[in-house]
Amino acid sequence: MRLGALALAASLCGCGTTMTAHALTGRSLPAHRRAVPVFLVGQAPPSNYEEVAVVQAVGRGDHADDGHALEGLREEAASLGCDGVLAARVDVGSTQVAAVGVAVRWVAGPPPGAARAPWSQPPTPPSPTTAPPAVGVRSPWAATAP
Amino acid sequence: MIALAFALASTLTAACATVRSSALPTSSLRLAPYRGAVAVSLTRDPPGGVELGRFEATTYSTVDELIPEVIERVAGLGGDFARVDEIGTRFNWVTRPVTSSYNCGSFRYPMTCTRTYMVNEEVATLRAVGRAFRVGPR
Repeated sequence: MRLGALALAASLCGCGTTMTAHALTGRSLPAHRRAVPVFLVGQAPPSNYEEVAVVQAVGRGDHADDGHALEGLREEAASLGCDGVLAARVDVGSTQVAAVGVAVRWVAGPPPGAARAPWSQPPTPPSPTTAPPAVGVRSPWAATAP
Repeated sequence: MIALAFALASTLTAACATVRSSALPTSSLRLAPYRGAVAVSLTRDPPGGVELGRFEATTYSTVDELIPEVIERVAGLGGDFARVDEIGTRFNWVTRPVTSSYNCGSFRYPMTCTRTYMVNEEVATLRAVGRAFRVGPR
């Protein structure tokens, strides 16, 4: 009972954060809530896409794992109206995990296999305050919910 | 005097910069710095482009500071297309001194003392390497 209370307190404390950032290399679109598949480096990427941004996510504390880092990439891509993340790479440190990839938009519908791609769970709804900036505007770090 | 002030400002700017970069021409073709928009790709070589050189950029900050630096380097080589071949994060442990102040006097004779202690931190460095291309007319 006491252990459960401690675990609940630890989970409510939110001792982890996932920070995300992006640099636009194309034109962004309004945010959406569709599933955003992530293709890791080495996986054959689809051919019919258009690059929109370089996206980055860093998980710290309880969020220092692959899952949170890739989820951060997915959420950042969705906030830019992108359909997928290609060439995603995850680097693991002792206290943090960083992921970087290319947010893309399908040019002629989703490629075959996109639905079966790893890490293709639907993203959490983006915050209403994360409207995509205009092309060329730098974005500050945006911390997701701890 | 103006030159001295400029040199001082440049030194201060360099000392505080979080982004560092370098570029090396690899082609005999020498072009003037490109003034237009530079395209960036992490997945595709430009069709029909001429490779002008290679670049490297690192930052302790984020990708939104790294990519503009890459663009600047590519434009400096006369390129209009930056092909980022690799981008990733490296982690290093660094030890740095931290100085803090605290009250160390008495009620009648208040004083402020300082102490310095060392802290260990894991520092993330984001690094991009790639090639500069000229796709448009020269």
